[in-house]
Amino acid sequence: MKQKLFLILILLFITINISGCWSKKELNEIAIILGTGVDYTKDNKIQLTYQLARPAAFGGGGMGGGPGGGAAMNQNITWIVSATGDTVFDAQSRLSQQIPRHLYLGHNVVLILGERLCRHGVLDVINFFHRQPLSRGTVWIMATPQEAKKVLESHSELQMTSAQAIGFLARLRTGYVLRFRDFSQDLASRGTNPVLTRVELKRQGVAQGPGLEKIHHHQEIIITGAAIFKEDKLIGWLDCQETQGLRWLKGDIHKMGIIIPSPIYPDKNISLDVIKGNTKIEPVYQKGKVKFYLGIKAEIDVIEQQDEEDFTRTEMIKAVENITATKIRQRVKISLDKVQGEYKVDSFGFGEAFHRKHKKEWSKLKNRWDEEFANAQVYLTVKVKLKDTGMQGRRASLKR
Amino acid sequence: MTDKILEGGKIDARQTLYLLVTMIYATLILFIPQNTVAHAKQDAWLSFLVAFTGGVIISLVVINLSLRFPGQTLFEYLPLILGRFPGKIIGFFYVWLFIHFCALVDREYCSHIVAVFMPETPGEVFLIHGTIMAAYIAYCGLEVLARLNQLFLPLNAGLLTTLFVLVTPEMKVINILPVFDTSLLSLAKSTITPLSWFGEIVALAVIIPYLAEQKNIYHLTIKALFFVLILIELATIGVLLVFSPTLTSSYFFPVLSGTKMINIANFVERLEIIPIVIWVTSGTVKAALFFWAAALGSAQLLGLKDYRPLLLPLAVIVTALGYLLHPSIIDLLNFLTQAFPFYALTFEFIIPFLLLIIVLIKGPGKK
Amino acid sequence: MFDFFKSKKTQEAARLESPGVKEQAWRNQKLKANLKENLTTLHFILADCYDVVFREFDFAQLPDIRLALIYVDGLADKIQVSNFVMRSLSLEVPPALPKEYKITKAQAFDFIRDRGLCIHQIEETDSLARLIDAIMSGDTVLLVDGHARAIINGARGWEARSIEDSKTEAVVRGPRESFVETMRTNTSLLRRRIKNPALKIEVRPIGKITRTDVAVIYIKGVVYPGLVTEVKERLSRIEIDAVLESGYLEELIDDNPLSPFCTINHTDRVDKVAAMLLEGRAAILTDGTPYVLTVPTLFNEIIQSPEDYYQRYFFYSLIRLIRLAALIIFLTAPAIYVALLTFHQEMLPTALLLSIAGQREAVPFPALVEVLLMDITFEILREAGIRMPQPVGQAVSIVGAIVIGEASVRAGLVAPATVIVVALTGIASFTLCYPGTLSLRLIKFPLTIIAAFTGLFGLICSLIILITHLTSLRSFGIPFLYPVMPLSPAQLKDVVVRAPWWALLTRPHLLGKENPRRMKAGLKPKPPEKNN
Repeated sequence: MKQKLFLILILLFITINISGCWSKKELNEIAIILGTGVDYTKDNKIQLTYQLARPAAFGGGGMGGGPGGGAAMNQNITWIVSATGDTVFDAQSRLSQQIPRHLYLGHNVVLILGERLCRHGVLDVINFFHRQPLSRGTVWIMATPQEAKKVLESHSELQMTSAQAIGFLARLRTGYVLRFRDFSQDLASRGTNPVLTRVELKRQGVAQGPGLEKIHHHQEIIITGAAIFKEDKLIGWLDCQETQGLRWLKGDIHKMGIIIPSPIYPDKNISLDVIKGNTKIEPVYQKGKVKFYLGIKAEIDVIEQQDEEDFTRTEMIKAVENITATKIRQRVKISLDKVQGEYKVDSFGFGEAFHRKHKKEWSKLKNRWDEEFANAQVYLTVKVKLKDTGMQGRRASLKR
Repeated sequence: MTDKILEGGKIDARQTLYLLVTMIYATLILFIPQNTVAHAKQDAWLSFLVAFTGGVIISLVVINLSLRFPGQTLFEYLPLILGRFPGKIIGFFYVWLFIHFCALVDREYCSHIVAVFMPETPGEVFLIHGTIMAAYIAYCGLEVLARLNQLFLPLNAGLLTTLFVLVTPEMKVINILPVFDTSLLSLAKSTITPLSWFGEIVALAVIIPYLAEQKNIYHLTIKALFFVLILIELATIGVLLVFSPTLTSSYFFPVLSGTKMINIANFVERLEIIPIVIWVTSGTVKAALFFWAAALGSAQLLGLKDYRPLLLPLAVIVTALGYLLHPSIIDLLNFLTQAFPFYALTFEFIIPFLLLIIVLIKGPGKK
Repeated sequence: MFDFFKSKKTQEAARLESPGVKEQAWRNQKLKANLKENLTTLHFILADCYDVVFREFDFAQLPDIRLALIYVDGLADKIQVSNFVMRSLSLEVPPALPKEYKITKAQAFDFIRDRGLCIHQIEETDSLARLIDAIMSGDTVLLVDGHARAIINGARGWEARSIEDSKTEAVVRGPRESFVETMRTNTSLLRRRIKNPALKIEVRPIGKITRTDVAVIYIKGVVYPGLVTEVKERLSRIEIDAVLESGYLEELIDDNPLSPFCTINHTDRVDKVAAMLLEGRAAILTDGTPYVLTVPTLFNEIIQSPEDYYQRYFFYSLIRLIRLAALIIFLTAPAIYVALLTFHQEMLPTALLLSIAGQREAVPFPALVEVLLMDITFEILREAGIRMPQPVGQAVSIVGAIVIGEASVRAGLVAPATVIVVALTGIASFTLCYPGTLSLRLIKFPLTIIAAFTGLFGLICSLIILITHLTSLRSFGIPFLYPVMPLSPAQLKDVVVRAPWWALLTRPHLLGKENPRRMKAGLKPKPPEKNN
């Protein structure tokens, strides 16, 4: 009796285990998506573009392919497919009718949204990427003034695929970059409007190698600024310079260079690098008026000088610090004027700062926050500290 | 009166502590942050604090009641308090409660696996898996269960802390500011669900007779509840800091979504296996504990010598219940947040409290 | 006399009547006073035993007394027997005796026993059964005419393998000696390590036909209370015709006969057995095999090696952690690999996934088949390496592995990543204590298959069931997973790490509760106190 029971249990266990095959997907049954692009076509449909990795090109060892995983010449590494539909899923199901493998979103690196879609509003398409169990919050999300499909139809000279290349570029944080999770947060918050990274496919560099002399028109995806949204709709672009100001305002300060005119030799420049910086927002609510006091603090290093300023002298350091502060103020002002003055949206999270400080007033203001913000006064104080001057204090000179 | 043949195992103080912690945090950590955050927003951590206090009160009532009947489980002293027939009826209600708890745990993690990892696979597969595990552990007895948990709890607590540490680069302190931004009503709303979970401590009434020493039981239980509080706060504050309250409440499984955000040096990433390990191990222990309690309870109520023959029919009931009770994860969530607290708290607090009052007035049991 | 027995007819008769293993009636018989009668009986019992030698001669002191020596050729030490038994009895008069010293026929037996034999170990018996047992185990028996008693001379000496390095558990630092097949040598090896009368060796024969000596060894006052009685009781329950190896006993006294896990460890290392005894365990020595059973066994012995205690503790703590990692890899690596490849591709880093996907692009099998194929190939090679004749042994198996691995990758049958995983799994198993790995090697296959059907979830479920099973096991009353489950934090210092000797103050808590203290506290070396 006991043995029989045991046998039945074992059989049951095996049966239910075998039924697990439902979710089974062999590695060579999936099409790994590395980049996703969404566009809004002229006839008001959603166009979904996937950059699919072609695994055979990633072979590494095995037969033929050399070590190190480099792709062989004249071999396609990625396959870019696109389809249109009424929703993202509609487009995807059209795609899956054409592709002999399961589309696999688990390794998507980047989500690029085309300009027409952004102007139309991104809420329509974003949700698909939330509900997908395989989609991740760490996907880089970007907007492009070009067509997202065109942007994905590219390859990278250094990385295996252009999607991975843009992912690595974003990780370096040289521009304003954000991830899907951050974007969703901004989208769901009244206190801030989303800002997206702006990417473009541009002619970049010259690929060199034996036999390559004739090929000169290589295009890479690069970060060229930021996209300003009002709620879920794009209302304008910022270029790289303006994005720097935006990053100061958002307190997102990594890897930023500043070029200032020399305090003594007006036609010469000094290059500085911001190594640390933070932005403190101090909202004040007085007599129905919203004011913001911004305290920016930065620590800078000297990277290069064109003339012969002597950084061992305290006056020189003071002078450089002052000029830098002015420069930072100018940059912030440019962005502020553009975003607050021209676009009239709060892209900086000032609303959230206000919420944290004035809980009661916020509930009255939150529904018309962008108007309040557009009329708000912003006062800036910038404090700069020169920390380091690289390997030299003053340069070797003829003059001394 | 006490029938020692039924369950011969004894568990020591440390094992009890660990067991109580796992019994509560296992499912709390899976769903509850989502619901609580939905109501209490960034002040969710506060609601857990309140729920913890409630849990302490419930545990005091249950322990006080149990200690008046040394060496006897809830099912044995119920007839002593209420008389033979009504006592047995209430006893069967408790058996039902434990079966239901067990089915819920099974159902919860089956839903989770299906929703997150294997959408194409029918949920019954995981349901049966879960029940088989729970039944096997219950078959091995309380001692094995307690020992098993001695491996799993430290492991899980360690893994949870690791996750918390790894996800710190993604955290923004401003996400839980401003504090105390929630009205008392929403706070109360957000507290009641975790409180009903803390109230599962009522299973102590079955465990207490099997403790090797009972003198520190108050101390032990409060310590266990406190550990639960720490674990759940760790998880809740973690997800709140990573996602803002709005985003947190939009996810079914915030802890899992939070884990997906981990990316350190492009290498330490994609650690979703850690939450599965935490949920499956702790969920199994929890399900097994309630399974054991249900089997032991029915054996004691029916006056059987051994509870093990009851495991198979109970397993069938649990699997069927887990399958039939909730058609979808939405339904399960709605039940857990809207109906479950009142239903569970009746058994967890009101009945033990009334029993205690009866005992105090009528006076059966030891002073 | 001999002629009588050599006649064909009687031999035939003897063969017909000579008792087999079923007839045990003679075992109750006693010796007779008449030598001729005794010899007849013995010839009767020992008929057709080609290796038994009967030697009759006259006693030098009293020539009308005839003596008979009976021994098994090859088991008895012939030099000892001829020099110190035959020579002294048939030729020489004990020099201390006066020439005119005469003994009577009745005194002959006592005289021979007390003055005539130059043998260390003698025993007197009148039981035919004991006599036969003694002959069969290599003793030389002396019968004296006119006396219903016999002298058993313990002059054993046979060809035996010399003491060598342990073949199954090698160490870099530590004693080289390992047990051999002879029990007496083995007990001497142990006694040399534990020079204490508290080291008790209790011998009993087991096996109705083989009469194999089985010794229970323990240190009185250290051994886990009640353990020896339990072991002896379990041994005395055994009624079997043969015990050729300790494995027979192992399966007959196991607590968990239905479990794939063996809860009785075995070893051929002398120092390991000594250490086990000193921790409060008991050992079961079986004659004829170098493998000694040690009970009770704990699961953590799988990651322990005697060398851990001889080498510097820092490094060997790391080694233990590595062994633990190897244990986990060994058990789960193929399963995890299959699960990740067939279900959870999202859990691999992108670059790694693309690389593996590239490798597997041309592979015609599903991941499970691929892994099983390689795994079984590996097991075949491993088995072949053991069974192959020594000269072709290891080299061929290693070359085979490389050739098959390399060729199957080149042929596109297997992805290189799979070969790496399977090879790693195989190598990881060699870091562990061999007996313990056998059951894990078995369990690895179902785990892989389950992982291929239900992914990591199924794998975790199976591991939970596995751990539950391990938790429910007991070895001679001690929980198999002690001290992890039930948790005893103070004991963990000698499980996953090895604390320095000056911190290992106590024996393992449960095992050594009879005599918990191992050493004086505060032995940690300190700089000498300054003399003022």
